[in-house]
Amino acid sequence: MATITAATTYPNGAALSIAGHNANIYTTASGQGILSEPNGGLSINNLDPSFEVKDEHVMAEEATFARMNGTTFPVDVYNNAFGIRSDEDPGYVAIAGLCERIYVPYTVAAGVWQWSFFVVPWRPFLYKLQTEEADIPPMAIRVFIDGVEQPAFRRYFSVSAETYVQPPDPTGDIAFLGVGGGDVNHEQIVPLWFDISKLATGVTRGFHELSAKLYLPRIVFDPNSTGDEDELELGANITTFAALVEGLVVGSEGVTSTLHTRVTFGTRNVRFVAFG
Amino acid sequence: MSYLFPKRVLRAGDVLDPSELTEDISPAADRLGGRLNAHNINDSISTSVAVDPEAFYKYEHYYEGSRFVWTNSVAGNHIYPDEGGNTYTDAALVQNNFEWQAIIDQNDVAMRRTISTGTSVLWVNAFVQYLWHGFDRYAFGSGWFLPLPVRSRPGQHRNGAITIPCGLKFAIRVDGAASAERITGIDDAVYRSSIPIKPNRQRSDTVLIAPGPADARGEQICSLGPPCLPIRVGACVPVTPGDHVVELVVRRVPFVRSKARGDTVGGIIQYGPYDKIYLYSRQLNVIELKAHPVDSVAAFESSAPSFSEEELLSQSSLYTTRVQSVINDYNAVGEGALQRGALINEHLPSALLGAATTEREYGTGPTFNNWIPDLETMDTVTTTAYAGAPGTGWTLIANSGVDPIRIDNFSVSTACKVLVLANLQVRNIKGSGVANPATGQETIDQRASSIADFALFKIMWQLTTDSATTWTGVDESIGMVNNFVWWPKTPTQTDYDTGQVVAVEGAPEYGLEHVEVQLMALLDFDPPSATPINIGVFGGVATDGCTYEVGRGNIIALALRTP
Repeated sequence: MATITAATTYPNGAALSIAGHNANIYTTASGQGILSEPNGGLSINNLDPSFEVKDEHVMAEEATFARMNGTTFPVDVYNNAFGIRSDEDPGYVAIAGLCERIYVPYTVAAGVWQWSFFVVPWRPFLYKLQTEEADIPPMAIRVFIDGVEQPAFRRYFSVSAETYVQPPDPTGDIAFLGVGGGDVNHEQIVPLWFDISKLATGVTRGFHELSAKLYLPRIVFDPNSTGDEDELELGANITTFAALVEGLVVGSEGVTSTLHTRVTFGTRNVRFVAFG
Repeated sequence: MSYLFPKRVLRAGDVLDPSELTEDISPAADRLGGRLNAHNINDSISTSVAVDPEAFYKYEHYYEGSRFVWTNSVAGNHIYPDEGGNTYTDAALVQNNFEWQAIIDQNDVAMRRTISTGTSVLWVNAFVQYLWHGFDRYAFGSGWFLPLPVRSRPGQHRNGAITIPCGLKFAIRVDGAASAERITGIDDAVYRSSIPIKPNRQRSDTVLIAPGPADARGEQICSLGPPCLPIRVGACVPVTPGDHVVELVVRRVPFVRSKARGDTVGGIIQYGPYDKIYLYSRQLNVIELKAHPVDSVAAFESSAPSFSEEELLSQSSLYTTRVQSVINDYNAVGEGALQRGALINEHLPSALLGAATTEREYGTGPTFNNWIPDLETMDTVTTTAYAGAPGTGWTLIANSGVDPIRIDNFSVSTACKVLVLANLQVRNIKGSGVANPATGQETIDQRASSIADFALFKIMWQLTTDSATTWTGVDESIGMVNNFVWWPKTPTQTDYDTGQVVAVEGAPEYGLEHVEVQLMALLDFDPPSATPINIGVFGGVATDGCTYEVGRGNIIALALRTP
């Protein structure tokens, strides 16, 4: 589009050009009409050479916008909270506070997804002394954007405990040493903070969502990956669980127990920062 | 403003009424007085309109690079990063109290930025590397390498970092408020959870009140645990018009040991004389995403005076002072002619000058054993990531030389600042085999469970015309992690059946950390470079024999407009 030009310059001594005057005011022709051309027709040619788009020209959230949602409420997720599941179960459990659904009102050139979480896993190093075999139960957190897993952002958890694997034997040796052993539970060493960023380009108008999901299958001791092991059971000292009676527990014996994994989340949130 | 139409069409024989003539022209002039909006301007301007670099956002950035005090400034033999408990003066000391505290440098300048905003959202990204001093443990002589759980015999760390968490929490504090949603931890300072072991029955034949109802309580887990980590914290914080102070703050939570642990009666672990945590490389980036900014544009005025009764109509009165004046103003629309919020996304060029990313999934992951240079601030680069004779220098994180975590050919031909965010899934840092300086002895225990094995990471860039080993590092992006998972310590155990001490091969392989290395940098390309750049994530180890693995990673580059 061009600059506005006059249809008539109203020269002195000449009859008034009615058509020219009307065209100077309003016309359907491009490049004329001081009322008609600004009806959506002002182009770069109409802007002063020194014109710059300033911040106050930009409608709110039409160039950039940000969303953040999350929670600070701590949550403990135990693998047995998921019920009986097979290891191949593709279903992952969404983590409260680590999911966000946003509306993008127009296609943006770039959007930065960020998700952060404070996490403390309870993930044991399982060791069978007789056979010198070891195993570590799988625990994973996966991230899905619009339902599609982002494989570069799958994360695992640090080992945070050490447990000897012994068959449950109420009269025999105790496998799980319990908190009294002092060398079993190291969860206090592994609290970590994850802050992860992902760039998405050409994010289309509409709803988009990021959800982080946990994968916590039941623990099986399967160092050779045979896939046919049962859920792990251990013998544990009953004093691990017994209430104290005047500061003491009278008696001692082993009790068959199932071992689980746990993930504790603290502060966590998801953010989306859009650049149009 | 919305579309305007003339109130009349002039026809032959019409009387030229001054009011009607005025209403022909003056609405067009009035529209130029700050009333033009999205209805008036064609969206074709988006491809060529000039933009104030701070039209969409503005930013503030703080950074401080600080290197470690290694035992030796020799590649492959750095040993400890806190030799003699010393630091360089640009490291910031964390006070051992429970209060949120500003991070102060050697010149008493806080890690803080003040930004004046309208109604906006602040996108904050902060980075800090912390190190709990005490790795220089050889002062304790024999037995130093044993992972003992009590402070009187602290084992590998003067302050017991093998069993005691460092207890740090970081937070983004805005205008004095470190709200819980921006804290790296759990707000409940004494939070404990249960150890997930569950008895299969609730009755015992021989023991009263057993096995329940007591729970197997875990340890205090409200704050960061490892003694050495890079941390990045982010937030989106809505703010009202005015000045805002944004800072990264830190506090240290005392460790309250569980009474259930065998070697103690529990209670708060007291800080010792060497118990110091220093903050090294650190950055604070605050980007104001503008929503309703304060007025910044001078008014624009277009004049088309009213016609008066019996005013002589001439070229001067009709055209020169009115129609031509308005036409001229429409052909040179000034900034003040647009109303607030006149332009929507269709009118605007991209808010960024460029954006790119690279994401990698390596699966089981490549292993690295290359040594960082004599000083981690040096930019020596090696292409040998893993070899029997380790390469000397930083190496680009890649999978056996392919699929690097690198952005290629990123344009910086327009003056800009490039915000770089990178993540690495790092695991299994282990095995330096460094001898005890006090005794010269080295044992398998040490290799298996030494927490003094360090992997370092750094963001670097190069011009695309540079050689494979010519890179420029960003010192303030240096991050370091240690082998904090040491306890699968089963190289020797008493055999279950025979009572004999046996060596258990392979157990050290399970010393698995899964730690997030989260880095950031702000690259300054003002003046710009006609040659594009590559940006990559590099890594290395401090001592010979140390290795680490990378499972996944990604890097993001955002080219921000710069004033």
